[in-house]
Amino acid sequence: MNKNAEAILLVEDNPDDAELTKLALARHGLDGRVTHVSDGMQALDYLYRRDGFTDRTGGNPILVLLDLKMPLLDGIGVLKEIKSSEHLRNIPVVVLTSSTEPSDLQRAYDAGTNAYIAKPTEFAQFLSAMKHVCEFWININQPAPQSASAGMRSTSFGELA
Amino acid sequence: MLRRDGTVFHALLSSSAVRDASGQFLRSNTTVVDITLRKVAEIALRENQRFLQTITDHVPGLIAYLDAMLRLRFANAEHQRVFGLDPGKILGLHISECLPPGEWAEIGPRLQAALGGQMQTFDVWRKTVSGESIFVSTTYLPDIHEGLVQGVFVQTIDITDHKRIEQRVSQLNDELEQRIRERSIELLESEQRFRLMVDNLREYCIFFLDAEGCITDWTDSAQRMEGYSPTEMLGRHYSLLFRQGKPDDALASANQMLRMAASRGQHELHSWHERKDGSRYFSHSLLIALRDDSGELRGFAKINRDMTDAKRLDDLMRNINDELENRVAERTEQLLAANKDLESFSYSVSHDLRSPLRHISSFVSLLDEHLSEQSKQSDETTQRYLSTIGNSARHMSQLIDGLLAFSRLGRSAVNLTAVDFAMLVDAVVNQLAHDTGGRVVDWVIPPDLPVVQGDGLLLREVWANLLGNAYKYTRPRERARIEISWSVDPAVGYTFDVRDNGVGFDTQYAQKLFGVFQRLHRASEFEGTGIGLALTRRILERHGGSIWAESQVGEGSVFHFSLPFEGVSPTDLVRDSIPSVLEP
Repeated sequence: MNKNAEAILLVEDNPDDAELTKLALARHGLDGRVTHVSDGMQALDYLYRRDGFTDRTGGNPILVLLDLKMPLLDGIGVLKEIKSSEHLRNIPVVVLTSSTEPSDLQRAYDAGTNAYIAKPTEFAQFLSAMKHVCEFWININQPAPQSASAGMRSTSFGELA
Repeated sequence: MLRRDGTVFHALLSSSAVRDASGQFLRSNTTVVDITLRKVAEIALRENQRFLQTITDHVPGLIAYLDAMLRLRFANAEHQRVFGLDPGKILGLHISECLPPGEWAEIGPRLQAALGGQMQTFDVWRKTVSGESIFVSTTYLPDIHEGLVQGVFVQTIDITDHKRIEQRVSQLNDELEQRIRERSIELLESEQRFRLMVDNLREYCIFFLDAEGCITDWTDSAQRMEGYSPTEMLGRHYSLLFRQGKPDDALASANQMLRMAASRGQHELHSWHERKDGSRYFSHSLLIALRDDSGELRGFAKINRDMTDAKRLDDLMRNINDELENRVAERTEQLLAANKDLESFSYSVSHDLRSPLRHISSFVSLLDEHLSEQSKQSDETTQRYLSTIGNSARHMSQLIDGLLAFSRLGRSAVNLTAVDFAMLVDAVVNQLAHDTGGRVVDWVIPPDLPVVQGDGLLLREVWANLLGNAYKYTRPRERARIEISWSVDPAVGYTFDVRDNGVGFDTQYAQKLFGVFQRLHRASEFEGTGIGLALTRRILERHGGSIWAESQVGEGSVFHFSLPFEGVSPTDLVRDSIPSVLEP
């Protein structure tokens, strides 16, 4: 698996949160693969290779970790854009937020998120949560080896979702 | 006697004795007088009399003859029939002897006048032999012979029937006249009243139309209300009054209204109406078809009522209503905005307050790791400080979670379902009793807990809180006893009790128990966020129930809560729809 080509996109405006998440991912050996953007517009720019990302390498990220409350374009907006785009909809998105509000949970699932994590206060619990989510979305929930094309990948994600 | 020639004649023989001085009978002298002529005259007279008698006896009415001494010389049979006087017995009697008492005084003078040669005629009421009243007409005709009044012919005729008819006719006439008089007065009064009324109508006016809609009577009230004089209006079509729009249209709609009134009896219309001077009034007009007894249309009465004031009041009321509705809508909007604000506030609390806490907690953990890596042996004081920071952050996080749960409860709907309290309590107790930590707890739970209407998740919170508290505050007891009981009050619903033999509390603070962040025990003695009972109370209130407690310090506590049979009523939901995050 080409780990460089399949980055994890972390969309998070708060630098402390970004650092904690990156630390957690690093604990699971994923530190080299994280690309961090700090608002929703940048996330879309990255995904659509616009502005500062016109010459980025690699295809779609293997996973998007998405904060909800962000300036310019919030997490729900990004989520809706990803899930309505033919090109992007198969990227798994995990909402990573401080909010325990049921309404946020509802909105996120309505917009098509694949998972929702209300970040625990305890770092240990956060580590555990990140371990599980990354294991599932990066290692377990992968397309069958013979179907490397984008079209086949979409089918298998659809079935698993 | 027999004459010599053989003829028979009526003779009157008179014999007288002739005596001497000593009275010695000498002879008798007899004279024979031929009375044949006299006899013939006598027979003719008798015949005449009989003839007269027969006639008079059959003449209706009483006929009598009195001589100059007022003795009855003749009376026909009618006297017997009418007055019970037998003509044979009364002849020769003075008239006064044949009359009922008192009557002589009345007729005496009249008879005297008749004897004086003056005919008398008079009508008088009499009583018959059978006691019946009859009205008789009596005539006294003087019998004048050779210049002398020889007697009086008396004729009396029963004219009772005539009199009665006359009386009836007279009475009828009187009545008729009376009625005519009364009716005339009535009509006059009615007419006056009508005029007075019609002319003095203020808010109303009335005028009359013929069957074609031309004005036949233009009253003062109409003149006052509409501004036109009778000379302007009489004979003109009433569509003239409709000044708005084209005359043709006015005529068409006026005729249409006539047709409607004619077919339905009346036609009603509310509209603005223009007077001659151009001023306007809001009229309620009624067009009434007038028909005669045979049902033929005779014309119309039109009544217009000036409803301008009422209309203005109505409009004002409507404006006020609109205004009120606007205000209600505005206020609702404000409340919704406030609600929105509260939601975003609690959202901020959820998101923004938890983040820094998480950072504190996480970075303390990381710092701990970092320090351990650097100095291999752990500094005890540093460890303690770091753990305090971590615990505080954790505790605050719990507080925030509790607060959020509490505020969410104000906003979210209560989902009513059947909730089996036996199963629910069993589950809660099992969870609590799972890790007793060596404690001995006697759970007394009635086997017949009911199935209630409510939100299962929320009611689970209630039991978890109350039983959790009981479990927590009995910790110092060697043998804890936690007892559940319940009862039914038809007026209130269910009441449940949770009784423990724990540390209890001072009842003077009982109300504080249910406030947010209100605690009656030091955190060092009993852990907790101070949210649990506030949450419990809020949940029960959302269900239309309530909660209260009794206790004695050192003896234990009893918590009671009630739930209505039917679950929460919609009004409670409305009243409670605006959340108050910080209100206890």
